[in-house]
Amino acid sequence: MTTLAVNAYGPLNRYRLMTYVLVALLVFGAALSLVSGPMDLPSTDGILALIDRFFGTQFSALEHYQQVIVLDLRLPRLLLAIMAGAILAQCGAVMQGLFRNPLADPGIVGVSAGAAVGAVIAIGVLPVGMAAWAVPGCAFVGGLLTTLLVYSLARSANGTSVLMLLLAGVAISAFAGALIGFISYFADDQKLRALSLWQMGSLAGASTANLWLCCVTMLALAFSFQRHANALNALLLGEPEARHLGIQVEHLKFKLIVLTAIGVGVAVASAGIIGFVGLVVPHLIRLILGPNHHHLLPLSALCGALLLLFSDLFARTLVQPAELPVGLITALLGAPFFLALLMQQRSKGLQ
Amino acid sequence: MINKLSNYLSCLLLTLTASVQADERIISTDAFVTELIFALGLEQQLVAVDVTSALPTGFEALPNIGYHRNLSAEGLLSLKPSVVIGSEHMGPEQVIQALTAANVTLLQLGSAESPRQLQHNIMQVARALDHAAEGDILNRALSEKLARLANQPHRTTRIAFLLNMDPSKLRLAGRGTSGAALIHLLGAHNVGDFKNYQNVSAESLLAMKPDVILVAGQSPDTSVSDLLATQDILQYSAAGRNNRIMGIDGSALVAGLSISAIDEALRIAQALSTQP
Repeated sequence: MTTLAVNAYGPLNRYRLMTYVLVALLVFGAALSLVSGPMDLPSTDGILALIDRFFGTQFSALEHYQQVIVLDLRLPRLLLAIMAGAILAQCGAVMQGLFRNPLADPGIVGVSAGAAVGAVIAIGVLPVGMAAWAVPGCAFVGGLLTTLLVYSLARSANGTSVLMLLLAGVAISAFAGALIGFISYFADDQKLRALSLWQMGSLAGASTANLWLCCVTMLALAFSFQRHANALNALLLGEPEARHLGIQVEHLKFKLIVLTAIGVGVAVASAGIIGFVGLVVPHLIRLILGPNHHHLLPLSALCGALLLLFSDLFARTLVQPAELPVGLITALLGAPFFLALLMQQRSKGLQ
Repeated sequence: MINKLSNYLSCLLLTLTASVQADERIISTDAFVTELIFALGLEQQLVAVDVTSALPTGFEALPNIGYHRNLSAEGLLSLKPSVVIGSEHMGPEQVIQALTAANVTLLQLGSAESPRQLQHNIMQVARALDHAAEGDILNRALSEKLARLANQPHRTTRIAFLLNMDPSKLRLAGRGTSGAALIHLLGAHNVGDFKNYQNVSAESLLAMKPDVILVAGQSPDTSVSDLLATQDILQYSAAGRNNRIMGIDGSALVAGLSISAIDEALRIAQALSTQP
């Protein structure tokens, strides 16, 4: 197959530089998240506790409950932030490439809306005791079903229309919004509070089970998306052109949509609705490096992880001893940063 | 189930009473518990409260730990509490586990839907904090108030309880709400025959023929005038004609029945027994 990668010297070099910078920032951010929080613990001991856990050593001078804070409270959240961020940002990059629409985000085919309906049904209708498993389960199923519905609506004898897919996504999301409103209207005050909190997203629910799930999903998605980077690059030329290059466009669309739905479904099921990461992060990378998916996909994953990591750090520490929903922070951090970059790019264009 | 729970609780209490020290660092995650800590005279040992707790002047600076179903484990531990007291809805689960791992004493109370459960909760907290005598005094005063309430039954009175944070809507208390619990304390009949709070139209409220309308608004002083400003028609109900639309302090009912809820009920009962 023809490699469509832009192999000019400049972008490749910049790609390496960006990778190093992002990885360095991620390591720094991870260390920072591990040692900071409302509880004032000695930084070195926090890191040492982590080493102790994995190598069975006894370097750290922390008491048992302090180790619990570092290893059972901060570490799982940190890992979930990295994984969910990476999944959401990659899914965003794929959706934007697939729809050739810069405003597409993973929610566009109805995944988030469907997942929200699933979770809201689980919180609002099912008995309280089941919530721990029912909420992520229903969210995942809801997201997947909605996506398949939107996809089958957009499908006709002549193939899948991107326009129809977008419009059906918008319509189904509106319908889902109405359903959520309907259930909220009849929910009692405590359920109402749980509903609204869930829709703002939180990483506090990180557990071993959903960490493994996210980890497997993240790796599987990264691997299979990367395999389709060439096809996504070809699709940037337009659908007929991609078809002439020998790409099975219909098959590709179906596969990527389902993969995205699974990815976003898993992320939403473990962390609630976290907006903005999937929309903004791929844009940022595209503004800096151009649209080549070979670079865009891995760097989006890194950058998404970074954004969510720092957002959660702020969410945990800004209003201590309480904490903010992380979805609020991603939007608060992401939107102005994105705008600034956009303005800068525009003024460059004018020169 | 209840038996199991009370067994579990009494086990908890036994371990508690054994481990109690003179100077506690208490975090309250519930409006009722905060009120009770003040009533027991233990406010100096209080280190943080939840978002629903009302604090008297002089204590506004106490840290706020947020909403009791969405606590931050590290946030709580950073305040170095010795006891965390709240309702059975406290969570999420990880927070409970982290508190237990950090050897913080945890006391979770059943929701007080009846005066009996309320008095039980009071004694539980009082014993856990080594103030059983004070708890006893509180409970005796409460029993006396409850007896006075029982002496003034308004069995034929139909009461509507409105939770009106937004005066443009009528949010009526149905079964299983703290509004219904208050009406039950008064010995009266709740007109809302459905579960939870629901928005109703002014017309359907009139059709329910309430003799008394209780309004819990933003502030107890203005809630009645706020309501009548937007729902002028309620003046023509039996409650309106007899001047029986009354403001009530909603913060007393945030966490089910509480000491101040009993006081509110008594105040309403006395107002009702005077001729209109």
